[in-house]
Amino acid sequence: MASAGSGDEKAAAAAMITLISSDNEKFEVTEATATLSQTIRHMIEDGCTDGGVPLPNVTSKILARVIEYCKKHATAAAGEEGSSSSFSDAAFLEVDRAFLEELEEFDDAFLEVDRATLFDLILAANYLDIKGLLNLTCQKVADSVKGKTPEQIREMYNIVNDLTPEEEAEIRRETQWAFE
Amino acid sequence: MEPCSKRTRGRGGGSSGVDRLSALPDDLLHAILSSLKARQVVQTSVLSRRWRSLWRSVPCLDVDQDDFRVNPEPLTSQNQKDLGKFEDFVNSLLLRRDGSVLHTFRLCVCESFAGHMHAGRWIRRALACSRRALHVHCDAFDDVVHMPLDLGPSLTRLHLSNLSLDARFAESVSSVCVVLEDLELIGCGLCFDNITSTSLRNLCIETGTPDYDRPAPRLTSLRLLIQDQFFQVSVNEMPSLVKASISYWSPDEEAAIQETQRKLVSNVGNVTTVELTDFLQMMVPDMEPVEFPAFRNLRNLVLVGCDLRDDFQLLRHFLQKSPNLEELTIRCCWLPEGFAGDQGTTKLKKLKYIEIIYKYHQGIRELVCFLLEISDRVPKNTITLTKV
Repeated sequence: MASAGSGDEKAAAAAMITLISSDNEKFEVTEATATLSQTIRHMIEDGCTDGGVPLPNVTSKILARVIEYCKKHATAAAGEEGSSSSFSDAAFLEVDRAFLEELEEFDDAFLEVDRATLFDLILAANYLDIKGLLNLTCQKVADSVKGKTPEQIREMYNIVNDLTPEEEAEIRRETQWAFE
Repeated sequence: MEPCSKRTRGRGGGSSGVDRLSALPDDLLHAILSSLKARQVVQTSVLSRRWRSLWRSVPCLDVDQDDFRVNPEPLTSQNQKDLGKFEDFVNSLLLRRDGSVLHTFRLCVCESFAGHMHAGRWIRRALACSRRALHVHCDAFDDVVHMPLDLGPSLTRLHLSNLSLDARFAESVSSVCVVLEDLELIGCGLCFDNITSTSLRNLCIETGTPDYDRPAPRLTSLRLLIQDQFFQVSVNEMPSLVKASISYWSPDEEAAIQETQRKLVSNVGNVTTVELTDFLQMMVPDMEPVEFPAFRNLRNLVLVGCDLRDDFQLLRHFLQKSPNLEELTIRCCWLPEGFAGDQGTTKLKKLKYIEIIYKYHQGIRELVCFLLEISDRVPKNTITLTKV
């Protein structure tokens, strides 16, 4: 990135955005953190963030977690690109790529939540359009059912089998080729 | 992501009795199902009414013969039976889709020639389900899967891996696929020696197994990763190509490799981005000096693992030919130990960003001195150094 561009970015990073949860709690975050959400990015581009961004679908508890994720990952993005400083003859800047590993550890720890929170995070990530968080949380659900039988999955996620025995038998016949 | 065997904390507690999973919208359930193997995806049809038909519209299918293999031993009559089940499965899976667009078809066939013959048919069917874009990844146990492909005229993106493609394929790309913009052939057997297209913007061809631990290229258009195989790409006949990424290696003598590498570079005169990987020294005393064409459109040059121990002569030559270069990336290249300083007069006025990624300090100072010299200490120029 050119140094001129970095200057603009610093200015952008300093700009603060207020996010308002469904239970009316206000969260002040940097623009860099907020724009990990495509939904909020578009709002900022359209210039409709004055007075705060109301997020009626997200509770303060979940929004706090989402912001935690965005803060970490926004720093990571800055760490990858913005770690540069203008080169002044002998000053060598070293960036530790171990940071990426740290990020993975963060993600793992971040996912250590109960089921209800996990689903709230999925819905929030979907609504806010945060691709990384959506992939992460959906993958977590997929991993949890991998290799499980339908019965085990039903039990695990409280899925009520509303098929009549006849209907279930019919589906099993139709898809016999996947059960053999 | 590794499979999660740990139990999620709070299981059973908190959300007692509520089925949050089935309450997710279709596209999110599809996203979750796309990470599962196709066999399990179909099995979710018996969970409840909500799940009955979801599998028919999953955009990403991951078909793995291993799921049907009871016996890991070589082909026997018992395994023939497994193979029959597998064939049945894939046939039904593809035939019973509800018409939704398929984006990705991963097919892993582990063994047996018969499986390979079917693979071609399945992939053709997957193409029929995809309309515009398809990613086919084929893992074959012993060899690439040979198959004729019928490509449709509306295809815009096609990624194929581990397939054997013949001259008819290349001809389809040239004459039938008139809107194809993005073509990736990874680990494919290429039984043709030329491929051209007027619509392609991204072409990536990799053969052989890359043994170099490198990050995925940012965006590649012409990407040639060629090992031990003669392949001619008429780049200059592809006017819409914007990026070229080239890696060439063969077990030949060094001089022969150098010759081919020089030819490949000379062949990408009109692109805006060039990425060279593992290039040998270009300027050696007993070789004719390199004469590259002018890279008038070149904005972005990336060198990965290249040998620059010719006192940066290749780099200087390249830069001299690229008056409009804006970004230069030098990743893990071999650098000379001593460097006397540049006597050249080239000044790259437009260069504004240089990134150096290195493992060892050796030669870095010399490289920076050389680059500061050649970039004319333009005030807006930024140099980033990253140690890996």
